[in-house]
Amino acid sequence: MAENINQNAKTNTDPDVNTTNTKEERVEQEATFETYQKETNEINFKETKSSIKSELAKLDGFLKNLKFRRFKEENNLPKNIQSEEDITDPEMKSKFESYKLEMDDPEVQTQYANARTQLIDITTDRNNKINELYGNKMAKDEAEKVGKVQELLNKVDAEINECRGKEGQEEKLKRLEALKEKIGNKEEKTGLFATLHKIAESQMAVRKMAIQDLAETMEARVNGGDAFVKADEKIKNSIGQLDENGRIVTNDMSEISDDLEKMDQEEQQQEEPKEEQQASQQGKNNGAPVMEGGVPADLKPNYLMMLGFNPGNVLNTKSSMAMLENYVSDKITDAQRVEMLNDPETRGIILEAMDKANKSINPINRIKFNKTRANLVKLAKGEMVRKAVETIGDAHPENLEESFENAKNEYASRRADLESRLNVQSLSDEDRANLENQLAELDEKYQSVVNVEEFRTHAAGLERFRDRAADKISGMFNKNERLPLPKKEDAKVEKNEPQNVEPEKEVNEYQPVDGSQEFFIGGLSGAVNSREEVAEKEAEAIENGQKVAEVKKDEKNKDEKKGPEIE
Amino acid sequence: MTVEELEAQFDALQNDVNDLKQEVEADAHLEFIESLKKYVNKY
Repeated sequence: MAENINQNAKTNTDPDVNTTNTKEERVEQEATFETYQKETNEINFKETKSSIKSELAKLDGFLKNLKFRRFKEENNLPKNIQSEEDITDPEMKSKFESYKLEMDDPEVQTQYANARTQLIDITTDRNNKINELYGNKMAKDEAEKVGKVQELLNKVDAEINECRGKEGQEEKLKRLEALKEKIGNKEEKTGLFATLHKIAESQMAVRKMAIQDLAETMEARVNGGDAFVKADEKIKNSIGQLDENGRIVTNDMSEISDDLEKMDQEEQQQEEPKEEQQASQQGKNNGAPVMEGGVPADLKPNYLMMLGFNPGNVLNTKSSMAMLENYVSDKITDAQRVEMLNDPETRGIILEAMDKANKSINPINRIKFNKTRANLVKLAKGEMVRKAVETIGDAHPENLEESFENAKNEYASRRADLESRLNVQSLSDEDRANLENQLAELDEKYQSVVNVEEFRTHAAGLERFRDRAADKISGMFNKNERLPLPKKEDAKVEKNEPQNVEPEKEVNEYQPVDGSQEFFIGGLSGAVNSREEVAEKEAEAIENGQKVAEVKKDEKNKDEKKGPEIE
Repeated sequence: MTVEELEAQFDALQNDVNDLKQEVEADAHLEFIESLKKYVNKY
């Protein structure tokens, strides 16, 4: 296993290749993700939609039939009138059309309650399937590792018991105990178990984001309302709505069917360009030449020129990054950006460039990519802002407080223990060195906890970002607004916030070095400074990327040597 | 079992766990790219 890992590390020497995985692994991961995405979409849209349709059709049929039965009873219609179509008298027909069922009709209430239960079940079932789909692979991987670590711990324990009390085994015993400490304890979440616990937490977060994303996509597909919520509201409104005679309206069901039909059409329209794109990628697009990465060569020249893409050149990492930077730069107006995205071919190129950039990120490109990513996010609409708001919610100090306090206390107690062991005068040089190493390791781990405190300060700044971004994006995308932006009153904290907000630290992420108020969070980032100021600082940082990293490393080393203080 | 063997097993496991950690981070990164793609596709 270790050999494989070493082998992977050796294959990552290409500076233009992702630093953590080989290309093959990345491709495989993407393929896996694509499969999840596809399968989940199937569950989300087709299965759920068809079940909802079927439930609504049943309810619609029942209500129509009930309406006729009640009308027939109340108006003493002859027995030969068996359905609505049998009513031929124009006056009676018109009366029937305006007839409404009673809101408190027990049969209506029962049927509505049944239909609603069914709809809830459909949605619950969908959510369970998504959880299952995303949860299984990840949980399996983690459980496997936990099992192996536990197995090793048992072996070490057995060896310790074997050696204890035996002459000449003291040295072996010391090494075994040191190893045992590195492995840690599953319940107390220490050592290697602590790392596994952190992985599990990250996986949970990824899963949550993935599910949330899919839910948002689903909302977007029906123009601002989850299919279930929309259908449910329609039913409630249609049954709950009273006319001037105090009767309920029941003839709204066709609207729901219309909505669902519209969804079908939209889905079909969205699938068509994909098919065209696939055809062009396979070289079947009327024989048009295909670029590397499946980019068709006969794209609109004006857009390509604006993006700086030459159909005669290969779309590589460098040109992809340049194109993405052009795309988000001031050279292109917001209206042009929307036009480009409306053009399926240009959109295809932009997506290709994003894929390319993502697959081949080295530290310098990552800085550039983050800049591009930050700008792309700045261009995003309400749903992205909403995501930022939710991320801020997740990262809010209140949620972090408890784990932060626990970690800090654990650190204080372990440090005190190590220090007391170091004070024993009879320690050998080797034991002393070993304990000192453990102390250094502990201090290093504590740094990650300290970052939580920085993050706490940072969360306040993010709320300001949310407010500003909301205003900016609202103006930029007013015409296409679909989802609501966060309300002003949600971000009232601004006045009481500290003015100098520290940027959140992220591994391999570009951080402003001059204290400018730019901040990053997970996948989202934004700038408070003017675009020019930030661009200037970023350009400088990109040019000096390596130096910045070195300086930061030196600073970090310096801090580590000092050792953190416990509050 | 010798201490060296146990230490080697620990090193291998630690590498393995770090690998999983990187994989999770990569998944998170891909997820973000996917969400960007969706955003682009919404137009």
